[in-house]
Amino acid sequence: MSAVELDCVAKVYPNGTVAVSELSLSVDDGEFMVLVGPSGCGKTTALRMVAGLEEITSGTIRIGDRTVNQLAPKDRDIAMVFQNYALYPHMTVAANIGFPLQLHGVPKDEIARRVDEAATLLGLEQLVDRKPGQLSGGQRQRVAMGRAIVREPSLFLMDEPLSNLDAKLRVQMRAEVARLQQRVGVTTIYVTHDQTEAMTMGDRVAVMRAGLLEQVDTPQALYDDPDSLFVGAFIGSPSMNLYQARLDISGNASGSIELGGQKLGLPADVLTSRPGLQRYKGRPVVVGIRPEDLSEEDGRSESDGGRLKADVLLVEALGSESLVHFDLGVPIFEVEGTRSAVEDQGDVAPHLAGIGGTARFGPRTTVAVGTAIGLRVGTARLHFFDPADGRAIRD
Amino acid sequence: MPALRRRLRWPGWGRVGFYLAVLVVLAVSLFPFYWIVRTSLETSAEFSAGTTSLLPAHLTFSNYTQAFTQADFARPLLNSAIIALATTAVSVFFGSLAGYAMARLRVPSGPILTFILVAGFFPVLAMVGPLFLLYRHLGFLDSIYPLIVTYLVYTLPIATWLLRNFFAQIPPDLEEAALVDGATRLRALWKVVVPVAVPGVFTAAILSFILAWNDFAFALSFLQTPSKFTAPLAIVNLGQTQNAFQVMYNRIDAAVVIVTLPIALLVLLAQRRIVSGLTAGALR
Ligand SMILES: Nc1ncnc2c1ncn2[C@@H]1O[C@H](COP(=O)(O)OP(=O)(O)O)[C@@H](O)[C@H]1O
Ligand SMILES: [Mg+2]
Repeated sequence: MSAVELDCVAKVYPNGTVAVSELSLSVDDGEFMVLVGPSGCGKTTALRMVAGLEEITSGTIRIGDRTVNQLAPKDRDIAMVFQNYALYPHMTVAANIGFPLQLHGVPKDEIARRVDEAATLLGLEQLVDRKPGQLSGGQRQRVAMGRAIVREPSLFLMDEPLSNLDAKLRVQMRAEVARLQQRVGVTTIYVTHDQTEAMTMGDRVAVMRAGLLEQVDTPQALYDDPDSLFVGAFIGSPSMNLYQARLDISGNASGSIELGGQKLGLPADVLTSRPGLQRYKGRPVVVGIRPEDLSEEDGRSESDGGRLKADVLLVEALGSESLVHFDLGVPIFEVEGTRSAVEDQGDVAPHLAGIGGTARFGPRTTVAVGTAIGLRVGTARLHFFDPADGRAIRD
Repeated sequence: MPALRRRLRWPGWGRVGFYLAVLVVLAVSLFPFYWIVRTSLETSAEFSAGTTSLLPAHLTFSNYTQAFTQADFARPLLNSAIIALATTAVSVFFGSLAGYAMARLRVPSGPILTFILVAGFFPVLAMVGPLFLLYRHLGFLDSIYPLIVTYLVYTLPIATWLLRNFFAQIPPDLEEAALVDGATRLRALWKVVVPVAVPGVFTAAILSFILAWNDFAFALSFLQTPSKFTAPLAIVNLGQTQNAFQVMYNRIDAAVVIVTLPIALLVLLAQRRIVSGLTAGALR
């Protein structure tokens, strides 16, 4: 077990592709760190540099108290789970799991004992004599995990280990992998393009975009307080509703934003808690509203004032809640690079992508498609971003 | 598709025709070998008397025993075995290393591969002359070891080419997993890549072995002393007796059968390996 430190690590492939530029990240001892980002943003490359499978163009990587830049993978005391598992097809399950021990010169009877232990932990006892070809996807995934944990390395690296499983098994293995990591307590760097996986598994999540680190924080902090438009749009499902708007501040007390033809009032505390907004007086901003911060207008409560009118396009009743897709008459603000990633996760009906927005209503909502409704906006939880550089506007 | 199969079965004139064709091909290719076996089991008196039936009158193993007692056929067999095994081992070892390098490292393997293939199919007789001159200068003539080098000229390129293609199909993740698990690159090659490429390794080994075992032209050109002869070369001399006009064809045929057996066994054994060698499952 050890901490991992990436210091200004960069990777330029021989063909000139800059896969990772200046990645600085520290992972604490025993921490489960998730690297998340859309496909092609350099996650795999970063992980492979930590593993020693890819040369580092510049920067330093430390595992524990050693700088490992020049160390071969075998000397880094790591274990890796590959996306396609990379099980050795000519070896039995037991031999696959025992292979790292065999390579490290562990005596035969101890190998047998530890393989047994790992197989039991993973529920593979019945399968130890099979070859990988005779296993199901979930079983192969477990064997790959077994091969990783058996040596008790100081660091686990996992590259989208669940992406080849079907949806149901993926959810199940998500919990299982997280539980296993907690149990063995080994520092883990876990790569995924799936933000749900990142949110549910990580102690902390590092969001990457185009070779750069956007933000590192706990899942909740990323969700509540994204540093950038990209993180705001990428984290959360259904994703944050983003619109370009104009900010008006009257005097010093309160203000409003103009969204299409509508005006949304901003109470004073929204402005005082985000002093940076003063600089955007009379200028365009991007406003972000989480679907759960939009609720059904019931004509009673007058508490925090913000209201918008919208036309209902589609209601998806999910049992525990209803997702109401609506049209505000304002186009969605497109964030480069998140659209495809969000669509990958399949939570936007394709014909609705690009227009309107989504609200989370209670399960018994009576709103009907084609009608106009009033949306109450939780203005205290609004997010504001600079439309030019995408940074969050806070102080 | 039971319906389809039933329709093919009967009245399956197509199928009958197919098996007839198979029979014809089998007869054409196996009859000469049958005739060799038949002759090798006859006495020379019967052989001289001429052939009257497809089956031999009675069987004798005397030609086989004579090949070893009167003509010392064991020595050339041993020579051939040494040469063929050494050629095979060297081809597979260096072929694996070279093929691996070409499959994995970023070397421009296109032109090299073309060259290798051309070298592997260079006409033997065009090579005999120059090599003879070269070996005479080097004092390599009349020794079995230079023959190994000669055969490598042919077997190493073919083995390299074959193994490169097998290695190229093995996902790099597999050996990277081995590297992370604690192997050096060489160890990952021997413990993971080569075993997974077993069908390729066997194919390369068999081709190398057969080429070295069967060669006649190089052995004939480079060897003079009978004790250094390879089996194919010795067979020619095996038929000779004190009587210059009598050739012991029965004994020659017995030797031919002996020489053919290892190859036939090898191919039969390896065939099962090649089929069962690669069962998928490394990847999803
Ligand atoms: N071996 C390579 N040679 C050149 N470019 C590569 C190589 N591997 C990956 N890339 C490029 O580097 C970028 C990052 O890739 P990768 O790390 O695989 O992203 P991710 O895992 O986040 O999907 C991509 O643009 C990809 O095309
Ligand atoms: Mg990847």
